[in-house]
Amino acid sequence: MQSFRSNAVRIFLTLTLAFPLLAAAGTLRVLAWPGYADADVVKAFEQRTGSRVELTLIASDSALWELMSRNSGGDFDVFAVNTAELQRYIREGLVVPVDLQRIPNRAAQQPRFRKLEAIPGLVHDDKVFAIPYTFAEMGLIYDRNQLAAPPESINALWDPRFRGKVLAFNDANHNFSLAAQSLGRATPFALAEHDWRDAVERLIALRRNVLTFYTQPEESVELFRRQRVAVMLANYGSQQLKLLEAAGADVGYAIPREGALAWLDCWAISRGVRDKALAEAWIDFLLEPGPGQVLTNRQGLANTTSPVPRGPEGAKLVWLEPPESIERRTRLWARIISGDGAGKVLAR
Amino acid sequence: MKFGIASRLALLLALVGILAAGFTGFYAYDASRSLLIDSAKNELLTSTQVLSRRIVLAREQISRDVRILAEHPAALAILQGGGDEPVETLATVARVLMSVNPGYFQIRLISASDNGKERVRIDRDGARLVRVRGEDLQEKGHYAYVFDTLALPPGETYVSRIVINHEQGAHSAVGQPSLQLARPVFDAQGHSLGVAVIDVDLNGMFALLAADLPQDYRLFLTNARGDFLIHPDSTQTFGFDRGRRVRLQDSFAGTEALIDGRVDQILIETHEPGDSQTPLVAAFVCKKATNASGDTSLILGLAQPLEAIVAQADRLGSAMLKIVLGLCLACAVAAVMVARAVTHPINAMSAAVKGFSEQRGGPGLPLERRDEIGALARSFNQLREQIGQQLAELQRSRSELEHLSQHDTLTGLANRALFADRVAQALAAARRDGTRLALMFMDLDKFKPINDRFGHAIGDALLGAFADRIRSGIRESDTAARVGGDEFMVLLRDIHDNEDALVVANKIRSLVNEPFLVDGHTISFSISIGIAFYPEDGADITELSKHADQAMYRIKGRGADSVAFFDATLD
Repeated sequence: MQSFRSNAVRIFLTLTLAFPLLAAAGTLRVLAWPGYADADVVKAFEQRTGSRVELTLIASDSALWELMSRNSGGDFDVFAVNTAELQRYIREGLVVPVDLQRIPNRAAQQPRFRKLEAIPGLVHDDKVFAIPYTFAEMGLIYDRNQLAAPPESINALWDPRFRGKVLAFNDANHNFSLAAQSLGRATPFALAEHDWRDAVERLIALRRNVLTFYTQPEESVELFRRQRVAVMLANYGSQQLKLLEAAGADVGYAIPREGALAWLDCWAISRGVRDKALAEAWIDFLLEPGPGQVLTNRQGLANTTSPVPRGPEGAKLVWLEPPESIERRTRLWARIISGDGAGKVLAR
Repeated sequence: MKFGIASRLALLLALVGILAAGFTGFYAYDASRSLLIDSAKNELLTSTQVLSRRIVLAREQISRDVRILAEHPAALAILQGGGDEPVETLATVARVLMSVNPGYFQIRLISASDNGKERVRIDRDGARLVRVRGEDLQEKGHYAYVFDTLALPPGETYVSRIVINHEQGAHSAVGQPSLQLARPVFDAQGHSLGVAVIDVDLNGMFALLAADLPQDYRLFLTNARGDFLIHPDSTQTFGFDRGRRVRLQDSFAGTEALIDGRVDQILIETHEPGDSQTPLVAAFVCKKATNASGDTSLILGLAQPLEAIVAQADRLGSAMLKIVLGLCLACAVAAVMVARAVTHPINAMSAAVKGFSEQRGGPGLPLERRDEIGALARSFNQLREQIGQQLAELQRSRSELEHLSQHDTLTGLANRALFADRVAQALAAARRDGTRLALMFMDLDKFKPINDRFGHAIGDALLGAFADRIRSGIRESDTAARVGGDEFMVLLRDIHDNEDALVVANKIRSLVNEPFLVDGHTISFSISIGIAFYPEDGADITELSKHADQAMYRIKGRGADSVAFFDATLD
């Protein structure tokens, strides 16, 4: 009896003393988007590695940039960023290369995500700065009751038949890219000087054709149903489709022939990383089938290990790239959405 | 001061008083503190309700203003293409409304046609009002406050969600939290041709509404989903506009029920967001509202640092502490006084008893008191008087007894023992002073026949009368004694010569020679007296008595009734 008791005391002491040490040994500071690291996924990782995860959520690129650049990346270890945005982090030296040897689960990724050099912006000077995690293409969601066939072109958004029944997204960058696609430009990310007037007029025309420009997925679903919207640019892609279907809407999804702008979110490691091996373990863990399924089933987001679940195979995806001038796009767009005419928009 | 009843009683009373005061003080403080906190909480909740009611009233006021615009004939005239005159009229009305309502950012009339082109627009730009014209008028058809308002039935006002205004060219409103109230303008057929819109400055409106709140109150406002719109830390507001939501339910635990709509007001004890060291009491009230643009409910909250409330309680506490300390002091003083009041008479009695036992007067007893102590004092006094009486009696009988033991009961003269003592003293004095003294021995002549004839009672009376005559015949310093049945002795002190003794002896003889009248009988008898002198006839009583006796018996043999000195040659 005596020895049992002293053993129990010893075990208790060992546990209480060892536990804070374990926790202190591995704290991983993760900066991610809603749905990328649900509580159960985080818990599974914590249990496996004996570490503790501090999760911070952001909902916009600018919020991500603000948090990451505030302390030269010193506040976070690992973060999720899309390929277009990644470029400025690389430029500012806020990220460090990923050691591919430490991400064995890459082997299970779809071929298009294994060829990292084929994705614009991931590889610089033979160094890999991010690992693809999830992606979404900005396809078109349409009301099957109002459209007999899926819209084939992005120009469906400008179709006067749907005047006041179109939903577009309130984003300067993407909208200028859309305008460029609509104008048939080769790349949507590099408007030439003479393209600007056309693009602005195209976007003013879009403004006159839409019901409104939304920002949140929930808001788009509410507007879609209440205002009997016919066509919507799905900035959040399949996530919005899933929400609409859940709300009982009879909707279809189409990738326009110009190609759907697509963002590809990757995991990158901050310059301020404390335990790089733990950060790489996190990235590797999220490429396992379990977390991938959570991403797809719960959030409606595509993971990089399963085949693309929706849309025609081989549909054209245009991975987002940094535009020629985010500042100019932003400035002009602010005037366009405020209701100015082309003359005022293009004025200096 | 020894630890007597007084100290113990004082200590006990003081202890009881201090404990009573202390406990009363503590519980009163405790109860008042929670009452105070409760009342502060209720005050907070009431303030929040009042403020949210003010918001509703303010909204109604704005709604009336927008109705004035929408129903103004000039508005319809403008939208029906009525030329410049109605435009100027409506602009004037709008200007007046803007100038009397500093919380208005913009007033506009927007047409349903031409992609929602603005027709009349007055903007606030700092301190001045700006009339926006021509090219600067914008197309607003894609904003919810236009397309949702156009769809409204008559009589209803559109109220937008509160957001940051990003509309370029809106002057003061740009980048500011604002909301729009709008009403459609109908033509005679009931078609909505446009909308009148008032842009409201959220912070300006709240600055007015909350101007009279106490300094330490913190004001919070959120939308239906909990996003902060007003927060003491302005960086926490409109997080959704910057892509990072900052929500009530994440900042204050327990407010989820309010967001879910399970309750419409809530009172919580929490702490300053981001500062767990500053406890707060917070009240949140949800004002429900739904319209075309969705759920436009607002949640209003007021918080007050618990410190401010507790500070009041602490002031109360220190006041109570002073009262309690005062009471304790009063208790201690009262305890000492009571103890003294009780023990003073006890001490007085104790002193009285002590004085009594020591045959001293001692202090007076508190006989006049009407309480138990008075009764005790009176009983004690009675006892004291009784004992005093009995002692006096005892003293008297003792001196009587002493007298009896030294005197002859029949004649009252000294007895043999006392006489011997007196003689011894006189002899000592005579030896010391070198003086002389005489010892007489006398005997009644023929006393036996008298006794036989008249009886013993007469004989005894006669002896008494005889003693009286001896006493009257001698000085006070001389001593007469009865030493036998009819034998008497007299000590004469300080005589100069034998003649002095003879004079006294003859005086006694002549006194005795007077007949005695006893019980109706006249009796006459004589006495014989023998005298011995110190120092010539003897040095002690035995010798002097023997010699006086011998001298007397010598004359007795010769016929009695005479006086004889001792003569060593004859006797």
